[in-house]
Amino acid sequence: MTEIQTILDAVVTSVAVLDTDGRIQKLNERCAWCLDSAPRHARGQPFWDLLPVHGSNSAVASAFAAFHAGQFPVSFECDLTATGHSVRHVAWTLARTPALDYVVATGVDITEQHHRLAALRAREEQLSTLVDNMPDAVFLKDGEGRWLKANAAALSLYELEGTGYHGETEAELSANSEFYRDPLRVSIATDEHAWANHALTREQEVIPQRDGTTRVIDAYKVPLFHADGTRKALVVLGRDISERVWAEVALRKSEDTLRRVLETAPEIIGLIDATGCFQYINPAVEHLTGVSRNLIIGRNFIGSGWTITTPDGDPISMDQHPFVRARMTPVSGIELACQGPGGPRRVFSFNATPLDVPPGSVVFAASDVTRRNEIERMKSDFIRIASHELRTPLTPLRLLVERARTRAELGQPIDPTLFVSVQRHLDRMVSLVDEMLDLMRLEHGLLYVRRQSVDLRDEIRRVVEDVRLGVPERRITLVLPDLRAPARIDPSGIAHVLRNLLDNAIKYSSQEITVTLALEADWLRVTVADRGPGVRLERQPDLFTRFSRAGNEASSPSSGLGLGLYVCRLLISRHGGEVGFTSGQHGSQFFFRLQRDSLGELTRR
Amino acid sequence: MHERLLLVDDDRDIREVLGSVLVDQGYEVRSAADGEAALRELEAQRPDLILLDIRMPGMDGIEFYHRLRTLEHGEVPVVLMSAYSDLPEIATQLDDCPMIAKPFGLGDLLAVVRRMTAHA
Repeated sequence: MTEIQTILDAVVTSVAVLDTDGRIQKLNERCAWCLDSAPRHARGQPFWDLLPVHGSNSAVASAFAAFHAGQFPVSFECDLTATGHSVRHVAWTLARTPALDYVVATGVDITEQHHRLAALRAREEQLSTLVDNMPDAVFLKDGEGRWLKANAAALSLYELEGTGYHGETEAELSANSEFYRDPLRVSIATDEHAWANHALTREQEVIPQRDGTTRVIDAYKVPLFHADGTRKALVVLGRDISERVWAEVALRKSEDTLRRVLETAPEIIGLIDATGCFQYINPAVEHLTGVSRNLIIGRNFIGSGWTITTPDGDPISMDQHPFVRARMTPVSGIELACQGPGGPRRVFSFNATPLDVPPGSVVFAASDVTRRNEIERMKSDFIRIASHELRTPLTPLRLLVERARTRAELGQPIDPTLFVSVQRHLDRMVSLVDEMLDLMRLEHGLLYVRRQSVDLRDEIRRVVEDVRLGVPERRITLVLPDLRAPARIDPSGIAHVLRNLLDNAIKYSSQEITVTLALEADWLRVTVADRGPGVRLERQPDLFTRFSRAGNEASSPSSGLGLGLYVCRLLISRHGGEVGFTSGQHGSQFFFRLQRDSLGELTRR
Repeated sequence: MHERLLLVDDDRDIREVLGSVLVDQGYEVRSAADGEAALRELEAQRPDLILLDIRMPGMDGIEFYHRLRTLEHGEVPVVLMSAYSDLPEIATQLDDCPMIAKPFGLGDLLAVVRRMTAHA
């Protein structure tokens, strides 16, 4: 054993010395192990024959050829199996000594490196598969912005599938893409933001599509730097959030529509949370209750200065409240009188229903039924009064006729004045029926105004004389101007109005009545003044409305349907005129005015 | 002796016709046009029966009825007469007062008057 041999055996690298024909002259133990041969057997053997080649031996074959061609150094890798051991992967290098008389072969066991590389390749393949199949766009760019990797989703963003993008920058790619030039340039700019930010940077990029729509990409950009601070790579992940964005836009639009509907609704609409606080209430509440929304939203429906009762004014218990009942089950048509702080008292019909989200909350709508209820009450009062008024004159009529029949049956004489009485009762019935029919005709637009050119003085004189005949005991003074009072009117309609005002004056007063015709610049004004007790203050606001007397029947003398002034107002407004009154302790002045017919004035004077 | 009736109705025609019909039947009839006038009549003479209309200007029949019942000798029988369709409800609220609905016939009128005056 020489000293050199001892040194060689201590080396973990396989070492063999070959002659120029490839026969082994010397070898260390490691090499003998590698070649699966005892050193003494190996000496003198051709090196190439001892390589126990596994799998393809093309690498060994070409190395063998190079050896014999003298093309040194010769390098190759091959798998070797020492008996009882796993396959080793060895990288060989054969070099000729400077004197050219022998060749030194060294073999390094690179099995571990080889395995690591294979594992790395497998991992890279997995990663690549993953990235390629991700629905999100993934880009990897180098420090200069050159694309190193882009997955299918990324390429589809700019329609770059099947093109050679590798190593290109966005500036270069945009030169070939007219359509995507702008979004590619935007991407360059947002890349710079990420570089400048030195950290994950998130931006939305909008990419137009050929069908006219756009895609919105939520881009996450991560810059990577070398140790010296220079740019290394940029990883970009782009998530298509178009659907979410458009859903949000659609939701905002739908919310906006809903808000407008709520703000336009004539009913009060609101939302109450589980604690009873108003979360929302629409503006209708302000003009219906006179209470500002600011004084409602965020406050509890209990307390806060509201008075809630039944329409008749009785207090209600909490479990009767629609907002409380609606927590369990929907309610509708609950009528309650509500009065907010400083507001008017009004009757509302409530609908309310529970909401799932947020739990315990209630949405409600309340419509103002104050007027509707009033009209309904007035209508039912009217029917009550109308039937009363129509049946009352039938009583004497029936008694008179029955008594006459009894007398006739008994052969007794019948007083002729009986027929006068019957006639009078019938006339009263007829005028009541006419009054109702007038009203119905007026309301259905069937009572046409047939205008004629007249001197209003003549019409007034005629009516007053007629009325005087009926009540000879009453003093009715007539004040007419000396000048003509031309008007284009329906004489019968105006006569009806004047007669009605006179009848009222006769009915409600016992002293002198004055009828005045005054000429105003454009108007003819007719006033009927009495010296009666005046119109009761509480009746004044709706004196000219339908059923007004019916609504106040308890305080009014009977006879008539209470439609007289209402019919008057309709008739005068058909003429384009106005009616009105003033009233005090010393009497009332009812008036109407009609347009003066200036043309008639010129042609007839 | 004739039974004395007080007829309270604002309708002049009804007072006239009803009055003459009842006088024909042998009753002594006085009349009043409203509640106040009727109370004055009561001061003068206590009738055996009051025929009372409901709807009248000033003091109406309902108010008169309540006032009547507070009077010292106010237990006079009353028959309500009205053209109101809800006369039965009104009568219920006035101690189930007997009533006769307008327009009534001669037979109905005389039947109720005879019945009520016989009680008295």
